[in-house]
Amino acid sequence: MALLALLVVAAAGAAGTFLARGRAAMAAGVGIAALAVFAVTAAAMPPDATLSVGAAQLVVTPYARLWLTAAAVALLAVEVVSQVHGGQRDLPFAALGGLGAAAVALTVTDAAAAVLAVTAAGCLGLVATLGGHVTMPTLRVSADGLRGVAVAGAGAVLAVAWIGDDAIFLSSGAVAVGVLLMAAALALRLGAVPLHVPLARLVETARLVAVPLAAAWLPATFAIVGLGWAQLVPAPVAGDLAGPRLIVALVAVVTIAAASVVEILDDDLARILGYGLVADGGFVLLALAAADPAVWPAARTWLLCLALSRTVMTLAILGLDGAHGTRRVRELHGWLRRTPSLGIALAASVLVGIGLPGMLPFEARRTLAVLAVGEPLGALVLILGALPLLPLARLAWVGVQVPGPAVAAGGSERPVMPPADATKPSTARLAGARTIVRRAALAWQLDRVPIASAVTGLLALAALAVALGVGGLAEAAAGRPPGAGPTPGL
Amino acid sequence: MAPIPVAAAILVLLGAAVTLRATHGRLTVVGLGVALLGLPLAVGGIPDPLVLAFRTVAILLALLLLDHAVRRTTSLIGPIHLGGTTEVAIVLAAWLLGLILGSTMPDARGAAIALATAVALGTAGLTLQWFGHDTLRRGCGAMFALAAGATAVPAFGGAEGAALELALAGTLLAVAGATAWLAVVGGRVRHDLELADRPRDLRDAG
Repeated sequence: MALLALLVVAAAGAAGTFLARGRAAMAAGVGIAALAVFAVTAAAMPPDATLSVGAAQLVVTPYARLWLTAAAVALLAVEVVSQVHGGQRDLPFAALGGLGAAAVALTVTDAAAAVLAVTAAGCLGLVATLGGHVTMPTLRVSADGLRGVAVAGAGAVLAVAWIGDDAIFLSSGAVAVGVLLMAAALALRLGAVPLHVPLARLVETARLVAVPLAAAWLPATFAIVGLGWAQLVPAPVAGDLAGPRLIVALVAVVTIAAASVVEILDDDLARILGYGLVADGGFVLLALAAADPAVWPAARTWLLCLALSRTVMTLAILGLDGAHGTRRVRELHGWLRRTPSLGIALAASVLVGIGLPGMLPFEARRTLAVLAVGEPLGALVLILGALPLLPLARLAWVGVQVPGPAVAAGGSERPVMPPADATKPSTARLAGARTIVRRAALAWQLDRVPIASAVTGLLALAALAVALGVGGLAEAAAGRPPGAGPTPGL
Repeated sequence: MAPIPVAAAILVLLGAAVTLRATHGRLTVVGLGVALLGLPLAVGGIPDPLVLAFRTVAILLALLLLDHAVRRTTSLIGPIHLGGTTEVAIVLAAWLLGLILGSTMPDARGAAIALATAVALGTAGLTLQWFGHDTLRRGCGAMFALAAGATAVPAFGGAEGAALELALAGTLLAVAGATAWLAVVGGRVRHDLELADRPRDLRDAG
């Protein structure tokens, strides 16, 4: 029943935001309320709660519960920050629809159904990429995104059909074809080189508030489902998969190296974010290249950290753009003095996305790299993956300098004191509650930069807590993968 | 060969051919509908009535969304890059290839007609995706490709459960919704379904 309640919340929220989309404020209110209820419902789901659909079941795993809760909280923060920066009308609908479909994908025991559900989530997520002033380039990147989602989904379903639970073909060649097909689908969905252009353009061109949903959370959900299939795929009856694993490892290493170099050379924070996502996709592909079963928990750990890290980074870039009117590093002199919370959030996103030795994301990335390509090449891949620290260090260096023209003219995180007449309650006519609402509305108007920074900072701290193990990420990631067939005894 | 799957497969091919050749948006939607509605019968076996009803309603809703998008923008779409006849020939060749592959499968669980239909539909979907230059054809291609993937599950001997059917129905609806949304938003920019660069409309061109 708990899972059914979650799906009902998602469906009702999506329907409510769709019906209210003519009134932006109402749609945003419904969306924020529904996302909050979704997060609470997801967190309250008992482990192993089930829902039968014919011969298949939807089974809640600790990882699915943690993932859905984290995604809902992150997207709630994105929606609030989006409202601070003018709002994106279609975001709540896309987020709730995408989360509902992702909930099905992460819990259903039929692998093909899981792939289709996550493909539906991807299509719904793309609805958030357009908004405000639409031009042909933005329309084209959204259409290309839809093509990528559909083709990747079709390829992944074909791989599942080819090598399923009771596959007809189990020679090494047949299993290799299935693994390569799934790798191609993952590469397309996650934007690995040479299929990175649609993702990079989407992040650069589309509305930035849509990036966490359309380019981080939903592709990562697709990866969880795809890697879940790969974990359960039967071994070939003869021979091994050394050849396809080598090809996948090569693509992954080239992706990490190329994307990291582009990040170093670029000046636009949105492009740095986009190529960061491309490099993250390379680490996900490393999971397919490894033969050791220890790679699966590491991959699932890394995927949650990836999505959280990129969400925080997106919100920080949105905050910088909103406060100072630019997202180019060379124009952001002194930003750290005016918006220090965003600096803390960016530092947290680095810790969650790359981490320090001993932290879950760092160990997950190290496991993926070492198990896929061995030592010492694994250490080199790890260093290549940490190269994006350089542009962020440059951003920090620029931030501590004397504020430049853009930053000096922009906003700061210091709250604006409301005018005296506005704060003085007129007790004769207004009740206390109305005064509070009025002050809150006034603060919302005057203190947009501090509010956005505060929400970003809170999400960054929550993400850091997850990366430090709060919430049981390591244990949850070691559990059963999605699409693993009905649980025994049910 | 059982007559119902063969007849349904022919219906699916006809629908795909109409979708590929038509230069009228609403005819394209009709072709898509014929192909998708005939597909469950081409897989073989009698589908569960409740699941079939759910899937049929979802497909009809998807068609309604696409038709709405076409009526909101323009009925006329340009021909596909490769040419409709060439595309239809490629899809027919793919169907025959699938039939040959399916007939030589080393296991009785495989279904030759279902595999042939999946290969043909997948080919139609991919060509529409790559050679289509308008939102509607891209959306139809996405729906064909996903339906082909789902058809491949029973074709390779897998179980075609209710979860798969329901997930496919929901996915087709989601793709149609996203396509209709792209078409309507794109229609505000340039009053048609094209994605390629060209003047906004004839008035701008003049």
